[in-house]
Amino acid sequence: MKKRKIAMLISAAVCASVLLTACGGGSADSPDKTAQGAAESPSNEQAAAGEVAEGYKDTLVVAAYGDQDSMDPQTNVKNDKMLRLVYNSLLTHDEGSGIIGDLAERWEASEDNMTWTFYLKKGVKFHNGKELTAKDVKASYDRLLDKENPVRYTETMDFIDHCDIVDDYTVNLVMSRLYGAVEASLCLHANMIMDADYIEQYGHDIGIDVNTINGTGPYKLLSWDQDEQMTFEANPEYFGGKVETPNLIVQVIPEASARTLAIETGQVDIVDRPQTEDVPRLMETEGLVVDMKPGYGMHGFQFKCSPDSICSDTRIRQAISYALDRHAIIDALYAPIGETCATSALSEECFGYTNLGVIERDVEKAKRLMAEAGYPDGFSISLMTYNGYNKGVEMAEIIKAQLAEVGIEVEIDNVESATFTASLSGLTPEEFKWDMFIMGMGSQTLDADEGLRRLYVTDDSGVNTNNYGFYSNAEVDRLLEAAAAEMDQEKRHKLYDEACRILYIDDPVAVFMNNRNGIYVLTDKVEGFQQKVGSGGAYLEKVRVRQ
Amino acid sequence: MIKFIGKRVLQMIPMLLILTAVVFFMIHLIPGDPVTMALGQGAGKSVIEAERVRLGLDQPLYVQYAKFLGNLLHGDLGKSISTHKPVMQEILRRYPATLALAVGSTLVSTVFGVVFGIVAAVCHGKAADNILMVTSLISISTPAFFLAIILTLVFSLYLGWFPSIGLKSPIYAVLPVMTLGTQEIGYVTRITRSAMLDVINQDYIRTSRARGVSEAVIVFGHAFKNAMIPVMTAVGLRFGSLLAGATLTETVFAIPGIGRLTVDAVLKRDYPLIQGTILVLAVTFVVVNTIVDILYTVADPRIKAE
Repeated sequence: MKKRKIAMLISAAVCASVLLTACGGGSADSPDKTAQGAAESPSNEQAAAGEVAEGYKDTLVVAAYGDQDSMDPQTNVKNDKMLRLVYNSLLTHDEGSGIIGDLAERWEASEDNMTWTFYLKKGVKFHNGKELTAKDVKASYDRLLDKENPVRYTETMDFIDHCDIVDDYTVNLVMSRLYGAVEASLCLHANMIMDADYIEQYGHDIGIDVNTINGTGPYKLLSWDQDEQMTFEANPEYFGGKVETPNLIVQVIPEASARTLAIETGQVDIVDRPQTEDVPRLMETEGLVVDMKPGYGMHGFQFKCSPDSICSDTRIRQAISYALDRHAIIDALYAPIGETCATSALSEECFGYTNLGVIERDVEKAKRLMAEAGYPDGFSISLMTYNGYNKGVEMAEIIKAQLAEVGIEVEIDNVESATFTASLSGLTPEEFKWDMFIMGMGSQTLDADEGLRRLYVTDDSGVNTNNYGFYSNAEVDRLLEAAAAEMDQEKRHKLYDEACRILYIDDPVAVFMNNRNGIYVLTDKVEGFQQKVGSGGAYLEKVRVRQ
Repeated sequence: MIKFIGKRVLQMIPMLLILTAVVFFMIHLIPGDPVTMALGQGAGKSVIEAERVRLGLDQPLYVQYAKFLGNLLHGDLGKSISTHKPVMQEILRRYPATLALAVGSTLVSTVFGVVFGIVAAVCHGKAADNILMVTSLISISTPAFFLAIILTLVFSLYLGWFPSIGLKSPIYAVLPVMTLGTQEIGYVTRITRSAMLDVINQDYIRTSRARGVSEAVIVFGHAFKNAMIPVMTAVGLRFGSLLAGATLTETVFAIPGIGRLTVDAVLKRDYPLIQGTILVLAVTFVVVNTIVDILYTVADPRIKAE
């Protein structure tokens, strides 16, 4: 009797285990709970959504390093690559830094540059079949610009006052001030156009699950198991042309070596961001291709410039900058992925960039500057780093060794992500305890305004919510404010040249280290793959995979 | 039996109350703010403030706690700050994967560990015992992360037998269960062996042998039956740690489980999600140990479920 009881218990446990395992990957959102593998064919129903050329796979599988935090374009902050498959904005970047119409057929600015008129493409359909009209554009901008109920990007876009409907296919964006980077800023994902009916129905719950998402992009999101997997089907009525592969699966694999293994074992077709150390081997691996392209991002270490830090003295910041051998650092850490030394306070892809050259190591100059600042025998600084940036800790260690050679002692504080993010908002100089801190720089709009003004103009609030290192330089303030309001793009560029020279060399805000690359690994069966600079994503709708 | 279970449920209530209070106030002591984490670098001051008000984080802690408890009574764990989704939905989506791994590796480790432990005890001091003890020590000492990568390389890359990413069907569970189970086998082997050795030297075993009872009946019928209690206790406790402690394994195999969810929640300072995951893990732990207590009565009728 007792034996039977034990046997029954064990049998129940085995059955439970098998059942649970079988449904482990499923969710309420997932229509295909019995999927046997990411790379296997989807259901017939899904395949029917698009035509696939003979000899090509009907499903593309991509390994991503992280998931979207939200599929609401106005809330998303961490990863917008998949948003761009689902939604469109009025304007967008081409594969480089040029600006082209996306939902807008053409656009023009009024003589005083205070009203921008956008003529929408006709016949653009949302995924539910509804046609996109000016009403949807207005509803999206009304939600974005609502100061009473601000969303993440309300302040970013505050150069727009409101949106007016002219007719069904024409809208006016009325500016609140003269702004020189209107077009570039409209490429930010916060400007993606959502369905007015969905905005009314779901309000701030848009993007929470697939039922609340209705876009016009090349792919429709079918299911979303956050931090696990997204499945898409092609939008047969996509206004941008034929979507090459009818089904797309994006699999989230946070561990870099596991992502690499996934493509080596044939479980995925494309990997976003392999592990740096793996890249040389992957380049040599038969059947794999590594695709690298300069992006908009940079890495560096910013200075704390408030009076309580030794780095408030320009000469100290310059001394640190000259004491570092950037070539050695970049060669040691980023050579496998082809990243290069920074040559300005902006990346090469940004409007406003001018090549100011790599700051070469000059130990004598560094020591002279230290002596002038009153520290001929050296000094100590604290440096905060964070491994969320590729090789952030290793970079800090090399900096420590190089600075020690000129008598600067560095105390490294390696923090985790929450401490890092919390340190960059609302702290007073007394609360912010590091003299240098790691930072990712760059401008998603590919315009200097986003990359410089928000971060480096003097902030009188006394806390570091945007100007993380309390940097203040009256000339930089003047130049950046003037450039923001300047409509003549040549003049703007000159203003940024001057500002970058100060921020990079004369009164450095940071040690700018390396220009970052977008890196993907593809199987050699993948065709039509092309990265975008602006979002760091890729045109997955143009990709097809040979069987 | 029902009275016993009822009693355990009642005991759980004050325990969970204390747990929620400790967790609630402790997470507010860690530096880091969930709103700035969720809104990312460069968020404007007005939106940070508006978000704090919307989430009720501008209110005094005791008010926030009271609201949390009030919602909890309605079965509502709130909404995650980072994913904007209901916490219960997030947990329920990830719970099956974690539970499957924990149950799978517990079964594997119990079956192999008990067999190895019995063999080691029966062959006490002989070569088999030594080999098993050294092997179990190696299995306990091998980091899960390392083992997971080695298993993936061998069985997924070189041999191509098992997939290494996700948990879509039972075959996907093989490598993660092997990873988690290997360590557990070591523990169970050692505990079974020592429990068996305690029993095997007792008088009644010697008497049975003198009476000519077969060795198999002595080992399985007499000795192991009495050695089962400490083994069951250990397996029950280890099951709890498998639920929350499989984070590394979940990360390597890209399995969205509770372990990863909890670590991510802490890293993002997602207060409602931290509360929710810890609460669910605690309840599971108590339930599993209650089941173990009930199993005691099956293993040893002298113990009454009271």
